[in-house]
Amino acid sequence: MPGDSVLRWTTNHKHLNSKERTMTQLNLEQGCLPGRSGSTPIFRAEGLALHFDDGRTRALDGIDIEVGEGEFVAIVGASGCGKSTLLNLIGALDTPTAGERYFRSRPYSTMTDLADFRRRHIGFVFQSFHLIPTLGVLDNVLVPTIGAPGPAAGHRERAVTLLERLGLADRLRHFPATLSGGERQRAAIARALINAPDLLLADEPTGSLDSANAAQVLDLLSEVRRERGLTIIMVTHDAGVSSRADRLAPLRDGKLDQSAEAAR
Amino acid sequence: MTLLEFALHNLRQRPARSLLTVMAVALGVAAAVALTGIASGFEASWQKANDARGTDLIVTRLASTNAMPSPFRAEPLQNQLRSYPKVRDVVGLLSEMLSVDAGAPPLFVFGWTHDSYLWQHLKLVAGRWPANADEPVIVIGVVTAELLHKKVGDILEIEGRRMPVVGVFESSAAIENGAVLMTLDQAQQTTDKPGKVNVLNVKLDPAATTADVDAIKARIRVEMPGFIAITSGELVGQNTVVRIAKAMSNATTLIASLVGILIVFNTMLMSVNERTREIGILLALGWHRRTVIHLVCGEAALLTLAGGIAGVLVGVGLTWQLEHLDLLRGKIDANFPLSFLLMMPVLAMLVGVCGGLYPAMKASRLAPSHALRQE
Amino acid sequence: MKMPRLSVLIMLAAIALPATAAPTAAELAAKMREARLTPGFEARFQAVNVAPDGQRSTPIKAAVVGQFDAAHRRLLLRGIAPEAIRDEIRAVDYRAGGCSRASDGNGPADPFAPLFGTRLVAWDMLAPWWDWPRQSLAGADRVVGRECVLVRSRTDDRDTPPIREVLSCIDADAGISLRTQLFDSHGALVRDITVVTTVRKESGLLAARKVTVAVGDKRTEAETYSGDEHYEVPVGAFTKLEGQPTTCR
Repeated sequence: MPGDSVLRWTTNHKHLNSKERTMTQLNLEQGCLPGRSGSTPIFRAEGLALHFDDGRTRALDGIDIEVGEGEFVAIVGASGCGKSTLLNLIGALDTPTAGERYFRSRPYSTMTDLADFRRRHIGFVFQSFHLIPTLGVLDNVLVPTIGAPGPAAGHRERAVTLLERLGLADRLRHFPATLSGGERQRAAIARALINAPDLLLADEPTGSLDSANAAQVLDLLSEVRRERGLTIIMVTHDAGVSSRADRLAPLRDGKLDQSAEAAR
Repeated sequence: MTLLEFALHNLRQRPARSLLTVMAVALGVAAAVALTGIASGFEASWQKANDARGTDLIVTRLASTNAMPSPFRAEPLQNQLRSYPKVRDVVGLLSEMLSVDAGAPPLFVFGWTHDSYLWQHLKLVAGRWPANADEPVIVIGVVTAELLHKKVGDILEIEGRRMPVVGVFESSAAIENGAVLMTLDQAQQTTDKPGKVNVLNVKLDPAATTADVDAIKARIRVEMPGFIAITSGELVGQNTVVRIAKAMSNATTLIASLVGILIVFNTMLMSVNERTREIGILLALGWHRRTVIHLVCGEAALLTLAGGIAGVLVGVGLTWQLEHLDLLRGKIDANFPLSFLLMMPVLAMLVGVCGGLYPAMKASRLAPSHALRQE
Repeated sequence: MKMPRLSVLIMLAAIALPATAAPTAAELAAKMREARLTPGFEARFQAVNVAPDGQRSTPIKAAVVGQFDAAHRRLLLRGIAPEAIRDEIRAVDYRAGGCSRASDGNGPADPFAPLFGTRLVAWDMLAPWWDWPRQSLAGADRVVGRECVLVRSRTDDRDTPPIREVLSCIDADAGISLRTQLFDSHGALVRDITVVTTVRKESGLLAARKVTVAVGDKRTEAETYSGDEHYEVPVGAFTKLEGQPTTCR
């Protein structure tokens, strides 16, 4: 648990009971990585690094991080500090140069089928939505289910329910170009949730939205998180967005900024 | 949505490119289908002619690499063959490909032993048959009559001899419908091959078994050096023209396949390069790399399947048109076995998969994070 | 003991080498004479004249019967079609010493005259140059995709024969001259006979199926459409030649 680079983070105590709050404080004092006391973190990384150009460029340089089940963690930092890189590594979209990642104590390096892991446990939401422009909303949401086990009718039913829940019931056949920014992001969230993931990775999900739509999307994410016990790790540079998170993970030049964390 | 629906959707997004690819594949398949149909039909027609005549075995010169087997003296062999058990009849035949009228394409000219079983399957539609072996007259097939605009009473010049048409006949074998028929004696005289034939037709007892046939063949091999007894199918199979036609159709199929692979390779590579970000999204959303491969190869297979089906239809249609050309009428009777027609689209799909394999592998190996950054 | 065995092998190789040396021109000429031997053949061909502008004449059809054995080297040509040449006859034979006879059925004829209005010449079909004493090798070439050896045949000087030299490009193993160029006494090219397609005889040797005979910028294309390698030459087929004057050139 202890390590030289220890992430100190501010906890949002609203969801902890008094005992957990006490334990959290104790862990902080001991320099341990806090989480729900006694529970296995959903994600953990040790010494995570990603270098390019034979080590000349260090996008990430030794990150230790833990995320507990059901938490909302915001990765913050200036542009180019490695936020999206860290998110990609958590989502197994990239392979680190050094370090190890764990999903519920299982090392990523032992997983033979990372695509299957992503499909079953990870949901992605992107800043640019990344909807397929030639497919309707419903078909976009169904894309992650292609090749997945289970009958097509079941996937379809789930997708329709999700879209209704996210307020897009009357947009099923619409193409992304005909939707507003907020609607597109909601469709992208539905797509991210179609396979009932445990971990939602959101890369600047409100970056392309106005404040009203941004707030709407954040509310939605919070509701979904509560309903499903979803863990959310979000990259953002927006203080308003990060304030909604349980914890912050400040990055600076590929490293964890302990001083920034201490200041918060 | 299924993978198939997604693949079809992707092909519809580039209609011009998809259509051009389908057309290119279709052309290659059509050429292969047409040539194979013609070669097969030529072979089948000859076989049908012999089967229609009721011939069980054909005796001809060994290793005849010319279009027509070399002529030989009929009598000694004929008498010898008639002495064999289970042999009911031995009848000589002379066939040549001759130009019979100025400006007309060459036709098959057959000389058949007068009053032999060879004539029995023909149906006279006008006029009469030659009265005797020496009568210097001809009967023509219905296709020949139409092609040359000749009827009973008209004259045809064959190798310098002006011979009157006394009858028009119809045969179940297309190759005979486009031929000119006279008695063997007259054919021998016309072509200056007195006493000669190029084929001896052997009719066996109906009770003759396969073992009897094999025994006769073996005996001929020993007792008649330089000659061979074969079934009509074997004779046609050895025929140089048939072999060349088959070789050409095989070569065309091979070339069409290679060209098809290259066309599909190019199309799918372009498609994959244009969809880098989309593929990155799919991988990020949990698509397995093999699903990406299935998608790309599936799109390629769908294109080539459509091309294969279209090619079969165009090839059959094209051959039908060729059959009705004056130059070829009566000479080809294209044959398209159902198994062959079904095989061509399957082969086309295989071509598609082969051509799409490298682009599919390339797409599946994209690093999702890099792909997502592409515009 | 290995060294003596090696020296024996080297000796044997040295003896064997001359035996596998390339054939001489005389040997090739003998091979060509032998390839043409036949107790009798019959062939029918169609010939068409092609003008420099590509215009093609009405085709003619003719039959040729030939006999090339120890005693005879002769041809009988008969026109088949069109009517203008029907039953027109040309019989020609070649004898030792460069002498030939020709008849048109009624009287003597010129063996060097063109046949049936084409550029085909009966004398060419006899190929008498393979009997000429002066044969020499002249290199190699490639005709219709086949490698061939150039053999130059020359006559002894005599009265002005129309053909004094023949350059043949032969595939001796196949027994065929793929290109034959005939030159006059001034060395000018008189005729160029090129084989376009071939047909394999029962012996395995090749015969020309289609040839082009070029005279200047004009040519005749002749193609065989029927044939009999075992033709029984009727008795009296060549009686037309009896009594005709012999020309020795």
